[in-house]
Amino acid sequence: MAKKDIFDLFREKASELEQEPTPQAWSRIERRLQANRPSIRRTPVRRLPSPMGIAAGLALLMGLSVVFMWLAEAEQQTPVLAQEQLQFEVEELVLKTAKDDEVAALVEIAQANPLPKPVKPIVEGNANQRLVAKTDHTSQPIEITPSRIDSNTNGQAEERASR
Amino acid sequence: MTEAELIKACRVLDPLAQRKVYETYSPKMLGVCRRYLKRAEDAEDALVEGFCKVFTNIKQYTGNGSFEGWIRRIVVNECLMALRKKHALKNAFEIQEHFDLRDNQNVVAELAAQDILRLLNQLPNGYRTVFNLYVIEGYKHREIADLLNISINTSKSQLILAKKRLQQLLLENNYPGAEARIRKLANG
Repeated sequence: MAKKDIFDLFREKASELEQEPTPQAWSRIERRLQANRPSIRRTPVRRLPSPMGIAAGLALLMGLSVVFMWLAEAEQQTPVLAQEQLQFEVEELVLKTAKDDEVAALVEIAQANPLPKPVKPIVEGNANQRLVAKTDHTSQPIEITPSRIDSNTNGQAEERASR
Repeated sequence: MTEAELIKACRVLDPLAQRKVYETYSPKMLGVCRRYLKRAEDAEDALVEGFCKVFTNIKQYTGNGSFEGWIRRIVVNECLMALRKKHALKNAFEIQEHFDLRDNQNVVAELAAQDILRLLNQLPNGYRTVFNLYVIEGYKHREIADLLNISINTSKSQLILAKKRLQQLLLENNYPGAEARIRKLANG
């Protein structure tokens, strides 16, 4: 047997010292590696919102509120606009042109029926005087006493209408 | 798949390649851990930490030197960190008188790997760590001094003490030589 340093033997034998680890060892490593690996993909979901994320959220909120305020303002303005539009709805006037013979007929009718002459207004006299109605030629006056006024006013009116 | 292809796949975090690397090297690396850490649970913890570092830092492996050696260095470092966390190295480096090592006896050829583990586990943490690093891993005293944050002389003396203690243990365990052992068995 060759003389050999005992500790060389230790080195040689130590390399044979193998042992199968438990299955848990690999699952632990796997879990650790998975926690590290998709850090780029997972962090947006898992990490707490970053300051930049909060800022973005606030900006979005402000933007939305501005848009809603603007919309509310626009809604208030709409009735005014509607009124203005109504002013532009103009009535249409249709001009009807009459023919010449029709006009001539109308003129004839107008000439045949002249407007009655204005009647002299009745001047109201004193209560104790007598009202006397005169015809053109008859000298006989018709005496109207206050007691007969009611029955005769109708007759006077008829007389005037016939003229 | 060659080792180079495997490493390349590990660089792009291919889970299958990582699994393959783990399956290839984990038994050997757990053997390494067991030499440093007595408790099986501690050894496996160090193994898990070590392989996590292997996979997350795989881009730092330049291809100079063997891949196994690179993994082993990481795993050994993990074991040392575990020892440091447990303060196992703190008071282990008391400097004692130097022993004169007599000539080594003829050694049993069939010293089993498990026997080595058992013997190492009987050493104090400091002795065992330096012995592991120097004799088995092949580090220089200067490197060991840096790794453990001790002086070079402490490293040297620890090694001598470790060897002395191991010789004693071998004697106690009837390992001076195969012939003696067989004789003893025949007599017994």
